[in-house]
Order: sequence, then structure tokens, then C-alpha cells
Amino acid sequence: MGPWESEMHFFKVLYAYAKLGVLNEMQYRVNLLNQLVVSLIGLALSIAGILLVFQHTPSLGVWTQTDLILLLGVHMVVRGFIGLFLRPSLQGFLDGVRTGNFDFVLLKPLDAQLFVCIQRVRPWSLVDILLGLALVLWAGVIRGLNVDLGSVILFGVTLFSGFTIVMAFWLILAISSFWFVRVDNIFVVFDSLFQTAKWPVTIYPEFLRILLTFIIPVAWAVTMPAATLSGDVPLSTIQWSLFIPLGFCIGARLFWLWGIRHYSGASA
Amino acid sequence: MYLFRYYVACLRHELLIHVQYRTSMAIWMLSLIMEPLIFMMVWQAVARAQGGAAGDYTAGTFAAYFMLVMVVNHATFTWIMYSISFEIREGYLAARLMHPIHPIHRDVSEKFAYKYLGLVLLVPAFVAMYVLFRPEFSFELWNIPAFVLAMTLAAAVRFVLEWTVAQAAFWIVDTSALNVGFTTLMRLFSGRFAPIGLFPEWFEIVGKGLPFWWLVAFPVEIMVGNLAPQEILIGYLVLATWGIVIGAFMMLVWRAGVRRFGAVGI
Repeated sequence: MGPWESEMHFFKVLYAYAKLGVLNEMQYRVNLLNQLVVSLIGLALSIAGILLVFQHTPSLGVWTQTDLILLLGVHMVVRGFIGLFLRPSLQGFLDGVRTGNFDFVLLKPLDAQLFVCIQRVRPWSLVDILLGLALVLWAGVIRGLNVDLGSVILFGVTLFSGFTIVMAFWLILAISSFWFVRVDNIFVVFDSLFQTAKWPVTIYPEFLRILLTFIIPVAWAVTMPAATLSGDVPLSTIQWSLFIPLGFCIGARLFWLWGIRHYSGASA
Repeated sequence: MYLFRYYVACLRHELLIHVQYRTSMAIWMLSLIMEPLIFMMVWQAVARAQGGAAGDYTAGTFAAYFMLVMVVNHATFTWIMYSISFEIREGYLAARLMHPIHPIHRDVSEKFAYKYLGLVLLVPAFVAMYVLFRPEFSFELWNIPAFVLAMTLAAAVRFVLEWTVAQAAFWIVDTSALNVGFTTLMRLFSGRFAPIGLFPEWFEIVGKGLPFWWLVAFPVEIMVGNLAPQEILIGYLVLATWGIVIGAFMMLVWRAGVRRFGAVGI
């Protein structure tokens, strides 16, 4: 075997699973319409909320109305990213731990941790990602951003780092099912905390801001990428968005290895 | 008397179920607490940005408003639209129809049990918010029974309304779109996002013409001290009228629905 062969093999398997997932979902095409309606209604409600808030104030700290719409766009992109594979995959993982089907995942000659994160795909969530990006673009045009290549790259980097953090955080939540077998609604924890990210973390009281930055990392996932485009983040802060995801990934890996020793299998 | 014993038995049964799945319940309670908490902080930030007040509200009265929204929403919300449509679709309702008692009684007692147990988390959340966000309540003693009465009425009407909407599952297989529509109206008009006084005037007129505002915000505004005794009495009448109208409709829909019910899946 060449030096990269096992990695290549892994990506081939992933590709096969992704294709299978897409084909499977394509049978239920009405779901696309469903997703579109749900996303648009949610979007309209959120925008109405922002408009109402700015009826009563010209700005929230340094954030203007357009900045908040941009933030909402980033929020939708991250949510779409979660819905695309994290939510369905990890929900499948929870079911597997409860029913014992997770045994079969452990038996596969693949890294189980990566596999459980990407075992299922729900392509309809691309609707959220595209709507979110459109919103970011629209807010950017309205704001008249001087979009240089640098800030686009920074946006990409911080967004990617946000994805990584969110993925590690979801995995940590899911791993807790090794101990509490029946926690089908564990992701509601994330969903309800993720609502905070529709607003810039700077509006929250200090204890919550610290919590949302270091313990529950929604600040890095949403506020930071949006702030790179509205241009009020010092570079020294941005470099942290390279280290923090690394920390979360290592933490998730260690927790996984520890948790897996507690898994006793339910089927046998 | 028989019904009373039935309720006591159901309550005990449901309490034990919820105690068994307490982690799961704590997680649902978290989402119930987070929503008003976020909107409270957003509006407090607005008030601060405006030098102390937005509309008629200060940071302190916003805190009071949203803490009460949390309480009233806990007291009145149901998840029937999800559970009944599931029971109808999968055929589980068939077994419940065999019981010599209307299925609604078990749903009512189930909600009672949940709400009672929810206090275990709701009360500490209320106290913590009281300490952290310094709400300013301005009510007189008579507001308390007026509030409790309004909240009880609202809980009854909201239960009847959501039970009725849930019956749509007799006719539609996938009710998820309907549920999204209903919860959107509820979110928009019930005053959970902002006191209705902060919306434009036309919105307030539309909102008070629909049942949603009365189901959450009306009791809250009694306790915040925004309503005169006369307005409160009118509010009771409005709630009672909605209750009778929707209740009558519910009975019609239920009869027609059960006749249609084919017990799929069993």
C-alpha cells in the first residue's frame, strides 16, 4: 500500500455513502418543497424580528440592521451544514447505540468516529446553505462592502473553523448517549442554545458571552465569520479561530475514545 | 366521581413516566427557558442602546415581561399536535378508542403532570433570572388572582385549539407543514417575541382579532400592569368566546374524524 492509499480508500467509501444517501432521499422529492416552505417561513420570521428591533434603535453596539441580516445569513449556512449530514448521521448514531446496531459500525474496517459523523446525507438542507449565502451576498451588496480577496478568504477560513467546532460539539453531545442511553432529544440542547447565535454575542451579559465563546462555541461559528465581513475584528482574534477548533477536535477525539470503552452493546 | 378517580390514576401514571425520563424532560425545559431569555436580552440591549427605554418598556420591565412569558408559555403550551397526529397515522389511536372514556381526558391529565413536574426547573430558572436581570414588576394585589384566572382560561383555550388543529391528521397524512404554519402564527402573534405595544398599530389590531395574543400575552400584560380592570374583563370574555367557538368546532371535527379513522398500521 502506498502512503495515502488507506486515506483514499476512506474517501471512496464516504463518497459511496454520500451518493447512496442522495439517491435514497431523491425518492421523496416533495421534501424539497417542504424544506423550501419551512426555510422561507423561518427566514421571514427572523427578518421581521430584526426589522422590528431596528424600528426602536438605529444600532446594537457596532451592529447595524444590515449586519444582523448578514449574521442571519451565516446562521442559516451553519444550520444548513448541520442539517446536511451532522443531524441525520448523529441521530442515526443515537438510534444505533440504543438498538445495538452500533455494533456493526464498530466492526467495519473504518474509523468509526468519522463514519458516524457522515453516515447519512440529507441533500435538502442545501436549501438553507444557498438561502444563507444569498442573504450574506445581499447584505454585503447593500452594505457596500469593499470586498477584497482578503476578507473573503478570512470569511471562508472562519466559516470553516466554525463548521469544525460545531461538528466537534455535536459529536460530544452525541457521545453522551454511551452513558444516558435514552436521550433522543439531546440535540435540542444545541438547537436552543444555537438560537442565541442569531444575535451578535456582544449584546449578551458578560457571563453568557464567556459561556457562548468558550464552552458552547456558537460565537465562533456564527458571530466570527459575520464579523470578518463587517470588518471589525482584529487579526489577533481571528488567529484564535485556527486554534480553538483544533482544541475542540482533540477534545472530541479523546472523549470518543473514552466513551467507546463504556459502550457495551445492546443487541447481544 | 369516577372521572376524578380516573384523573388521579392518570396523573400518578404520567408523573412516574416523566420522572423516569427526567433527562429528556430537562432538555425540553431548557428550550422553553431559552426562547424568552434570548428575546429578553435582545430587548434589554435595545433599551440600553436607546439610553434606557424602548417604547414604554425599560430594561427592568422587559425582564418582567419575558419572565412572565416563560411562565405563561409553560402553563399553556402543549405538544398534542405532534403526539395525536402520530397516534392517528400509526393507528395507536384505535386502542384508545376502545376505552370507555373520551381520549381527551388522558391528554389533559398528561399535560397536568408535565407542567407540575416542570416547576422543578421553572422555579429555579425564574429565581435565577430575577437575580441576574433585575425585573421591575408593578402590580397590585388584585392582579395576582386576575393573572391566575387569565392563565387558566388561556391554558384551557390553547389546549382546545391545539387539540382541534391536531385532528387534521384524520384527513392529512403528513401534518408537518400545517404544524409549521400554526407555530409560526403562534410565534408571531402570541407576544413571545416582543410586547405587542412595540409593533406597528395595524399589527396590534390584527393580533388582537386572532386568538393567539390572548393565549400567552394577555395574562402577562395583566401582571405587568398594562391593562385596566375593564380591559381585563373584556379579555376574559374574549377568551371564553374563543373557548366556546373552538370547543364546539372541536367536537364536530372529532366526530367526523373518528368516523373517517381507518386505524392504519394495526
